[in-house]
Amino acid sequence: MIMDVVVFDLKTTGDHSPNQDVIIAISAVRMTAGHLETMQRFDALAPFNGPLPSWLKPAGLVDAARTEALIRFSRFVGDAWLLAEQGPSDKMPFIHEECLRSRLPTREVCVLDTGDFARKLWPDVCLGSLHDFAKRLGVLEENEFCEVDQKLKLLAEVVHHMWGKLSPDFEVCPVGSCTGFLPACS
Amino acid sequence: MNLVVVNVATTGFSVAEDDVYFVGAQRIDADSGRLLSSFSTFVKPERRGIVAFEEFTRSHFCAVDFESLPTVSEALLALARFVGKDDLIAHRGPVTVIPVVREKCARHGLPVRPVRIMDSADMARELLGSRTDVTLRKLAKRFRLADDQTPTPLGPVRHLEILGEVVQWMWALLAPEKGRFPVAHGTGVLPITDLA
Repeated sequence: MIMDVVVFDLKTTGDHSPNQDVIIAISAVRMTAGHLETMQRFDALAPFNGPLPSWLKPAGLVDAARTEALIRFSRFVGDAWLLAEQGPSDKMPFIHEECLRSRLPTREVCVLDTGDFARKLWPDVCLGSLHDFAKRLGVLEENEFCEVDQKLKLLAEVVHHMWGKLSPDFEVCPVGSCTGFLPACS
Repeated sequence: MNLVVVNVATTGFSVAEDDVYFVGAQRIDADSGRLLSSFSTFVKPERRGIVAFEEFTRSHFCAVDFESLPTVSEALLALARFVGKDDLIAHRGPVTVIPVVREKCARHGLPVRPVRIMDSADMARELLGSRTDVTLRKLAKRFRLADDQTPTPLGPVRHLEILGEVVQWMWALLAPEKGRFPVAHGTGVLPITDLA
């Protein structure tokens, strides 16, 4: 398998529960064979009944209905695998629940978790967040913090470093994958 | 109307790489809050060395003879039989229990059916406010089911017992109308038990 992944991040109304909270923004970028395809970036902002959180900077985000944004995201992903911070547990349930609520037919997609890369690289160290991984890799300085709107870039950089350390030719996925669901494209 | 409180414990935080080692559930009468029945089993781990895993479990919780335990498929099918047509409640269930159950069913070729699931953490936020720390340990202390002397980690059996009691308290305090849920529910999965 030549690495073909879409690194993505979701912003939700509460980060608590897919039963109560909804997706308000999706950002993603494609990474192929270890190269970040900066021209292949996806950004969408979904409307919801309430003010946008102050930390969410909508510049560059394309406004779209939530279901339309998810279908466009699924098309953007294509046959690639998905990769996110706690992707299988904290991100994909929001997408799947939204598909069920909107009665969108779904398709299966392979999903990877940045935490699995970190646990494989540093099995004896308890690292919780993307910032921890970035500091461990030297991508962030010890006292440096990443702005929310820069998180996707940081996530992609961290993924590039971790995957490269575990599988330098980027031809083998070094961690196990899970099954997730996206809207069917057709 | 009955509710089934569920706990599925895993060996780590990874849905892809970690194993289920415990499955348990308690059936509660939603009208009276009474505990009706319970089910639990430890599960034979899939990938970790069983000897090492026994040591891990013994040091944390209790001695378990893993060789005699059901596989994860058998345990999930037994859970599904126990649940029947009732609805589920689990603590952060939609992002903890359901992804694990879905993944294990997919890997073991178990066909699944949809099941309604509520999150007991949503119930706690509804009762106590959205900024409240709703970890199960905090809730247990609030409802005087645990204190500072309560061991850490709780262990899966005690976790299920406390979750069952916390849910009964919260259900009584939220007092939903008969047949209604006090918080929004989502859709989870359980294996289909009757393929006929």
